[in-house]
Amino acid sequence: MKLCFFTIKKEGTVTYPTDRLENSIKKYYLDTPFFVCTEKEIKESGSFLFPISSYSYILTKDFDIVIKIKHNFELLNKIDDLIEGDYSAVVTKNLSSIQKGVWNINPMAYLTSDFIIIKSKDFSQQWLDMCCMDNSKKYINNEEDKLNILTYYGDMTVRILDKKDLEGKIKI
Amino acid sequence: MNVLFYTVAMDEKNMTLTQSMINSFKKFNPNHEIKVFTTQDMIGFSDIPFSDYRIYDFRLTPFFSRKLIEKYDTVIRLDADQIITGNLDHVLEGDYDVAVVQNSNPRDWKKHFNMTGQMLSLYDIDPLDYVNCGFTVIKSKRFVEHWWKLCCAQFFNQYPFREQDMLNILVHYFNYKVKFLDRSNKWHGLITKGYWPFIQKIGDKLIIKQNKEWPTDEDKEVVIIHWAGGDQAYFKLKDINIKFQYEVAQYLKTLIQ
Repeated sequence: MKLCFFTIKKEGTVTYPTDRLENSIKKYYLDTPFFVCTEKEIKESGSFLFPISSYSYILTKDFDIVIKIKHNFELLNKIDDLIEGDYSAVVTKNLSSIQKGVWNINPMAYLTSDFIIIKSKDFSQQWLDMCCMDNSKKYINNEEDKLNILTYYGDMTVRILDKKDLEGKIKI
Repeated sequence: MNVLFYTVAMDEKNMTLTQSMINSFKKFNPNHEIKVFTTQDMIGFSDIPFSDYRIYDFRLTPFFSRKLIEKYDTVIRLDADQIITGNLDHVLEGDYDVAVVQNSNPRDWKKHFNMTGQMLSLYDIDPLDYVNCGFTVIKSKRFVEHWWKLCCAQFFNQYPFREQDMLNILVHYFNYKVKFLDRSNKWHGLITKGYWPFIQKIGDKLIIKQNKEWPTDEDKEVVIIHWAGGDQAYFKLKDINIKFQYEVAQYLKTLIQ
């Protein structure tokens, strides 16, 4: 199975380093490609409103498993047990203290786009399609909101992780 | 292509309406098969044994369609409280997963909102784009299985219009190929409700002419009239003379006989 990691590096007033994340991935997944999607690439692709879903979609063309991980996270261990299993995707409940919500989804169940494992081309295709819809500006957290709708209202099998599932594996 | 039109009559009260709809259907669509399913048929369609057929209330379209799509290429569910006023061959044309009809129009939407405070919509869907599940054409097994999955989800009962709300979620937020039947020169069902007095009989067709209010773009041929209103529909059928122009009312009466 071809696996890769990627993160989004946003620039502007603050430059976010990604080297700590990269080093941690290299420590546990030495030969696994790690991609950094920069502001320049986001602008060039015209996907400013939905960089994660569009970059995931691009990568799923070449890789069976695509893992998006937030730039300031670090791997603390191998995460094979999270990757394994017959799922279209593995997603995580909101990790930040900021409460978010969409539709009638309980804020406690709201999912984050900070850490996602995508294992199905169909999942990434549907996520991108949803993000590109005309209604995208009506959704404050467009990409995350659509990820929630896709997960809770979609027809694919998705594993949902809690913060405690990441303990000892990912530094948030 | 293997096509089935069907309707569901849950009790004796519905049989008069059902027969009227079928009579009108056969006048314009003699070559198409139409079946009526009742509570007795539900046992054969259910995945699990059940003692009370009402467990499938408000989700009958995916309930029946998901099994029928295994035998037919295209499955069309029609509500019984309708009069078919034209040929329906055009609804089968095209490569799509599902074809749907509008639930409302400017006049009916406003009236409903003033009377009930209900928006007749869902989330950010434009009320005029919100679709009705009284006439659904399904060609995709994946679509109907997905619809059924939503109708069995925990959140299902939180939605006031149940299977119809689920249908709207799939049509408006997922990437299925959807054919919006009323976005054409033919109108089907509730899109004309409230404008029935404007319907004219021209030759053997029912037409609403383009006007400043509705429709604003072109003349429309009305191929389905949908009473709606559940159990009340039977009484509305008796008001046919009041709701339509005289000539149209007489014509509709001949269609349902």
